[in-house]
Amino acid sequence: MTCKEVEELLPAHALDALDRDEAHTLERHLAACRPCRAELAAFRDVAGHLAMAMPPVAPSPELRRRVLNAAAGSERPGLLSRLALWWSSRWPAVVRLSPVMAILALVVSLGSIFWAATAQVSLDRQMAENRLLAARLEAREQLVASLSAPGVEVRELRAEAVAPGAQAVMVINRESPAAVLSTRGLPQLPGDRVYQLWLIRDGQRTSGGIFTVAVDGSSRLEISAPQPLGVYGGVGVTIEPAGGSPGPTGARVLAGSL
Amino acid sequence: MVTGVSTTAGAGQRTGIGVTYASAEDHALVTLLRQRDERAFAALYDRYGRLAFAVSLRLLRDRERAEEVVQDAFVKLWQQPASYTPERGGFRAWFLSVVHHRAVDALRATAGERGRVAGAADGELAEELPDQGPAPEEQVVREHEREAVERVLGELPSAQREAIALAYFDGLTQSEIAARLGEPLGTVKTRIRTGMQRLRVALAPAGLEVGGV
Repeated sequence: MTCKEVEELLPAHALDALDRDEAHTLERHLAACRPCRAELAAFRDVAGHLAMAMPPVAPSPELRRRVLNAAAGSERPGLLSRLALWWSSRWPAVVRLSPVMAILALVVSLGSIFWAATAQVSLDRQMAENRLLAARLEAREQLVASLSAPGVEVRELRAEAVAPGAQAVMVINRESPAAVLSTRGLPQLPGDRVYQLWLIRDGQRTSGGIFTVAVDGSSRLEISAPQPLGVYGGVGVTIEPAGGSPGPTGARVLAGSL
Repeated sequence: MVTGVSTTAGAGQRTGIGVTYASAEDHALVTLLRQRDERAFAALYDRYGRLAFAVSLRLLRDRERAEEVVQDAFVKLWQQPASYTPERGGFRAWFLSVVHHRAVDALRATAGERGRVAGAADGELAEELPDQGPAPEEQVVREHEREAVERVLGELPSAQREAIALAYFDGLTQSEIAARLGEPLGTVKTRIRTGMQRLRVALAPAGLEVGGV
């Protein structure tokens, strides 16, 4: 199928009005042809506007619950807030503000700002990235608070042959289930793959969360483990299908002991 | 493992960067979605759940099946947020096209057993309670868009408008439309193609985002 032939079919394809065989042939061409995909996106926009001609209809409230439940349970947001809370409930203010820890926190902040500044992003993504960086900055402010306590340890992870240039550290406290993984130099993955962190205890691997890397190869994962980090002997990071796996299946890119 | 953090994106809840989830732009929410932000997911549901349901219900004419389609589309979005890229156009149009595609698939999968509910009265849908929408300011924008889309549709030659409506709102293929109207397939194809091209050109100056124009 030539681009010219494909172009003729794109408006109908955007309406899902092609016969099955025709749609199939078209999809094969689209998979390999960027200009035709862009053209289809334009007609999808048109189709999307047709939906606007319909009055919105409320589905049952039950649907909202079902949809959001699908997301809940697989995630642990707000970790840094809980980490901060955990610390502040545990240590008096004078200990929390230990000068050594304050300096460590400052170094982490400066390092973060440096990483952010080196991010090379396309103009297209700039706005979204800006919001993300702002959100990260706030998270880091909370992280600074949580790191201002004794007992915080930094563990360096080893890069495997798959990602020889990668660097990674985990900031942990053995008594807390909360930790942070920071990496840079990990390769970008295709859209259907993610990195997944595993916490290893007596040979058992528990997922510590999934993450992707920013354009500059940096990433940060907030971990909320089922148990305090002290019970785990090691960690590993593997490449898994999007959404993560119940157990590691892909190549290991990072490893380390706790 | 489960945190118990609320996933409700109330008007007062903030993304932590000075904007509420309800007012954040789509691309910001999608970025947060990639960071596994449940509240961004809830905000997208609150923003597009009703619209997605309207599309799905219009095609399937069955609340339960329509909700299944919407649920599947949202869950897939949560599981694979990277399936949307800006290359695919605006998020809303892309997501609605995903919903439309799934609903059409569901429709065609059962068309054989059930027979198509041909030309069910539009009044059926009017019985459904139109939703009040996620945020008042967004309702105003949507109302403006609806008027613009209706105006542009109204300016199309009626044969083109009819062919496009049968495809999009009733989920018919070009061959089925030709059979329904008793017109040659080539004629229907030309009407849809020409009509969509006209819409693409006309929607852009109406202030509506259409990629590539």
